[in-house]
Amino acid sequence: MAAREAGGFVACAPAETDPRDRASVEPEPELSADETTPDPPADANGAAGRAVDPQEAQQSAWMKAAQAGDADAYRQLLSAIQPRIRGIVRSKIREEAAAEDVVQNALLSIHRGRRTYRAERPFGPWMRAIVRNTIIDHFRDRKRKGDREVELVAEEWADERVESAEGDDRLAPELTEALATLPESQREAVTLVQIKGLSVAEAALKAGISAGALKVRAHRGYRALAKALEGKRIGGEWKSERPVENDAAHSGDKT
Amino acid sequence: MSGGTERLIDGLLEDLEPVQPLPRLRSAFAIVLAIWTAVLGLVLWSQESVPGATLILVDRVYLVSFVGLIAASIGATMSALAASRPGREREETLGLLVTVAGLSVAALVCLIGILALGAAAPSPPGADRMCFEKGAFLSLLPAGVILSFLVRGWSAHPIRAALVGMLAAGALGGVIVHLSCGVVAPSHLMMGHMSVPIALALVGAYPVGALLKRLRG
Repeated sequence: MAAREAGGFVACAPAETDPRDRASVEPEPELSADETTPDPPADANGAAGRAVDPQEAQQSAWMKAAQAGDADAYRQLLSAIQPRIRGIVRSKIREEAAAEDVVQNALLSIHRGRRTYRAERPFGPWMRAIVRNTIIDHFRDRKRKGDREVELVAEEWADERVESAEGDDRLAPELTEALATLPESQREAVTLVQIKGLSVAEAALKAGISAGALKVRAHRGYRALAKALEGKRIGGEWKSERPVENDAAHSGDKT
Repeated sequence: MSGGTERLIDGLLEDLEPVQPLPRLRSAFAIVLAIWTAVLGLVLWSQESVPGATLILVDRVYLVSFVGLIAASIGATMSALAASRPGREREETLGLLVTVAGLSVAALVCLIGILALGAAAPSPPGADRMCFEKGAFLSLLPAGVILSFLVRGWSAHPIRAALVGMLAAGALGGVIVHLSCGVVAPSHLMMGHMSVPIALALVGAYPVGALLKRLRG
């Protein structure tokens, strides 16, 4: 019974919606040998059982310093590994915005999981394991997405948003009202991603939760918003006057 | 580099705090095994008699199922600890294989015993449930110990990590019950002892996995 419940929950988990992830659905990738190779066994002294790559040794030293709180070393590390992460991600995900999201999620996971790195182990396999799993999570999220209606609402809302607006003062009053009815956690997620325009990883960092949890909250927020806004639009137009400067262009998009 | 990624890195740098790295895998494994041994020793020491210790020497089914539970507990412990560290897939898989092998052998030998003896070795009324409850109760402390290690790690597969973690704790509970129980009926070993890790894993895997997923970031 418990097994069925667990399985059922996974199957029924809310789709984690990131409106920018919509462009293409790639098949789950076969990871290359380089990405699946576990780290070599450590010898009695704890050193890896292969020649140490100087670049990797440097990154390992930076991570060790970062674990001690050295921000300079951490910045150097993140800057150095970023192209490598991007290279791995782009080899599996062609769509640029989605790939960049995954890169950011991988950086966030590396940050959250930095405690699990041990300096006597090679840095590369540790990092690649996290990146690989972030990529797999991305494809799992894609598979889970089933609620197209909610995605559509999020997408339409993204269209309604005034790109240059910094706050929510330029949103339609209906949206502002509907936002106010959301629970704090959902409102925060929706605001960070849709109003402030942060990436999922940035928003997750700000909210102090995982990227996955943020997506779930945002998704629930979109769904609650969709319900709250039901019947408040007539023929694709907001009932009240929309505070959007290029109103004509937007209304043209909604036909 | 995109502006968003730049901003994220700035955010990560702001969020940077010193952290204590997890102990080495082998150290963590040794710590947990030491705790397992202490729990086992303490529970058995607190009992008036340990009939299972004698039965192991005289009953093959009892012995093989005991060894299977021990193997499952050790393998699952290794697998759970490795699962909470990125890049340790080999140890995770190895531990999982040992766990599956241990449980399979134990279950198989019990099944063979049931088929061979059948009604000749009935389980006393209420004994299955009593042993199961005792085993489940005794698994709670080990489950807490393994959980304390899991929450500090970063699991790529939180549900799987939770599953093997609960299997490890449940198997230890099963081992304790095995040693303190005097019933030799294979059906009892299956329903009262072997079922403890399976039940704990099935019940605990999802909630614990969800917790790990939430915490890992």
